[in-house]
Amino acid sequence: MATVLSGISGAFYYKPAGTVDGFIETAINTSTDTITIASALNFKAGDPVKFRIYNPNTGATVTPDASNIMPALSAGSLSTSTTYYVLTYNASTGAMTVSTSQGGVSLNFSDDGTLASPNKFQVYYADYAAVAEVRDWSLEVSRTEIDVTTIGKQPGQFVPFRTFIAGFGEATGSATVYMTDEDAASANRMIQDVLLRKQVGASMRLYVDQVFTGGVLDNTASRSIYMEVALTSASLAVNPDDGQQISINFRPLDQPTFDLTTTA
Amino acid sequence: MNYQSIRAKIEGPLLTIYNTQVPPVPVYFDNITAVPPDPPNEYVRVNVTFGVTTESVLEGSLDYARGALIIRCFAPKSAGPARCQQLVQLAKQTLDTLNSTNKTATTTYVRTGSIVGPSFQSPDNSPHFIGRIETGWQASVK
Repeated sequence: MATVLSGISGAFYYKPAGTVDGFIETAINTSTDTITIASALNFKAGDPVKFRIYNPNTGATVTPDASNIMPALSAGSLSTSTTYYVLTYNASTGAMTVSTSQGGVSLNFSDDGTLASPNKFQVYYADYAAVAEVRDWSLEVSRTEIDVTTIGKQPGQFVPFRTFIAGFGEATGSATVYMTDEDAASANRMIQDVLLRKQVGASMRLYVDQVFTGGVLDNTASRSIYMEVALTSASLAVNPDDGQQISINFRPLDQPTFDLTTTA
Repeated sequence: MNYQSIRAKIEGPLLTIYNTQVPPVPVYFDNITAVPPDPPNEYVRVNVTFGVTTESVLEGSLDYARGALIIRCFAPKSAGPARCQQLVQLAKQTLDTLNSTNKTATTTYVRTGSIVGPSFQSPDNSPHFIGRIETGWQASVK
């Protein structure tokens, strides 16, 4: 017999806003070991990030080859599969340093790599992270209606009905978040992200059924909806009787991916 | 969650204020088995109850302690309400002080809600005249 899913198997995962950008070879300074990306993004020290080569015209990932070579390090080269950690990011200048571990030693670049036009390197937030303070989330998906009623219908005993077809889809969502005294809480960052001018990279994965296998989140066995979002508003309410809650509203930037089955 | 620190924040100042009276007024907290004194001696009972102490979220729960505080002041019967009200007033002043204490980054912080009462009773089976106030409390625990 099937079992009804309840909120106890739900979860809310988030990639912070302002955490993706592309850059070319000259952005890498092998003397200072810095990568200069766009300013006014929102990388924070300790953020897990990955690198890849991509085609900015299509967004497609480009596999490194003889024409697209990842930047070289003093030992090996920058890997597309390794998770690195932001050491510093200057939002005014865009200068970033990264390490192989949180708070570790900055990567030592020996070569800035090679790119075939129009490809770029990209640094992006490595993966979704659980937001532990989310009380609930909601997502409303709707379709516009296009009226295609025609005249000339044969009148009968009952009133003729208009005829419609479904149009474009859109969605809006919201999440209720508790404010806590934990500085590093993802929820606090999500609230701040509402105010970011550059929200690029902000993404959410909304689990309706979160399943772990061997202690590791199993996205194949889980059911979720994920999408890149714009954070559209945050509503803060404080009173002496209740826990502090913040309602955050968001809108998918494109068609969400509905992964509501447990087949790959 | 440190339940004891919450209880201490509430009970400590009440014990202090009644102990500084002349003569000191005995205060009986939860699970104190000593026999209360007979009239004309007076005493105070303080009950701290814990209600909801966590708040459920999708990924587990967060600490958010709330509960109730009941203070009953026992004064001699048939002597008018004045002394009982004086004892209640001490409790009310103590809660006022607790509520005006600033939060710090390192200690448990407790605030009470609206104080209900005092309500008075003169039960037939008790030798005391009883004044009672009650309120809710919320705590931010360290």
